Amino acid sequence: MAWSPQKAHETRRHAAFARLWEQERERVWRLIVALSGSRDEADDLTQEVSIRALEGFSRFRGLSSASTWLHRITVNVVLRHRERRRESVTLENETHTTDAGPERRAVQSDTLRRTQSALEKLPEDLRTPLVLLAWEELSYKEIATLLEIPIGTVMSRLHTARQRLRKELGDAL
Amino acid sequence: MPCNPLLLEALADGELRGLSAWRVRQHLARCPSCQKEMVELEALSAELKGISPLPQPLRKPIRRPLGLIRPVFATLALASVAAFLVARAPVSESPRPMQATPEASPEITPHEPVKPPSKPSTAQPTQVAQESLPKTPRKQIVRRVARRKTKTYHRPLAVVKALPTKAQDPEQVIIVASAITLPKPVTIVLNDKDDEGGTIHIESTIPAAYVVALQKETK
Repeated sequence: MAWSPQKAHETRRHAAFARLWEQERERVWRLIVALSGSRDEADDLTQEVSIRALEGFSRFRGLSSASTWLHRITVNVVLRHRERRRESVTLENETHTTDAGPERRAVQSDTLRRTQSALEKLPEDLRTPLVLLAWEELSYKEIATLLEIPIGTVMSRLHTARQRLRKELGDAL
Repeated sequence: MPCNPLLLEALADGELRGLSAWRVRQHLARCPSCQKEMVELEALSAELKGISPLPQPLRKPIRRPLGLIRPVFATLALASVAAFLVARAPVSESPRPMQATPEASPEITPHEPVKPPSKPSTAQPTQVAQESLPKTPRKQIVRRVARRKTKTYHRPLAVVKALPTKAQDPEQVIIVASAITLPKPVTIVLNDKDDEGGTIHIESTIPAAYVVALQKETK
């Protein structure tokens, strides 16, 4: 097969993406688990993220860091997945599917189950910053960068999410 | 300062630093409703952590800033300055204990005098003692103490300014840091990068609700 500049460029691009993916794969998996609230589908979603990222890597213009770009794709893939799932299943079934398994369910207290249920009832725009803060332990700035919203919006969404959770949980806290 | 739930949450999340954190904490110390709010925020955070789907070993604790100079730590800071000055004074004016001549203390002189093999005949005992000391520059040692791998918020509880000195013994700085026994969550960071002869930062990672409880106790 004859050498061509296009093919050489393609090879370099694939190698660069492979390096990026190797560095970020674990972080992407963690983000997926945190955002989806479940480890069951994390591997499938990680694969979907890798395919989408590879497809879009040629259009990546370097306006942000490559890792931020990859994490944004992850957020979009997970949120779209959750949206599809919300449409297809009822809320009750959904909370069962997001549990981590029967063993874990058995040891969870009522309060934790109520918290999980209340968290699942939150709209995505409120739930996402909250889980990124509470589980991924990102800073406000990191959340703002990832979700492409101002820091003030992150703060107000976190406040609203917490207010709703506390209202939902009532005396359980 | 009026009650501001957004700022309170930012403080609980470890997002406020310096003066803004100090202001919110000052308000928190006086406002019972905000104290209750803070305790509830901590409880909610704990609940959320409890249902985290992430595997256990990967979770890491949030290190939260204190942002307030508490009397206990201020006293510790002053004590550290005093210890520093006391430790430095005899070094500059009197000879060091290691420089004692064999005539002055013959009973502690070892049977075989410590001499470097390269200069067995010309070096005096005092010179030998000086040469056997490790000649590490001050900045290297301080930098080794200050460089840490863990991610912490560099928010000083108390800042102690040390005066610039002409000839400073690097070991004395280390002794000051290790001589004072501090509570576990408190760490001392030596920073030699400013122009005023170095800064000692006393930091803490005590959770916010614990601080509120401590403030109540001290009142």
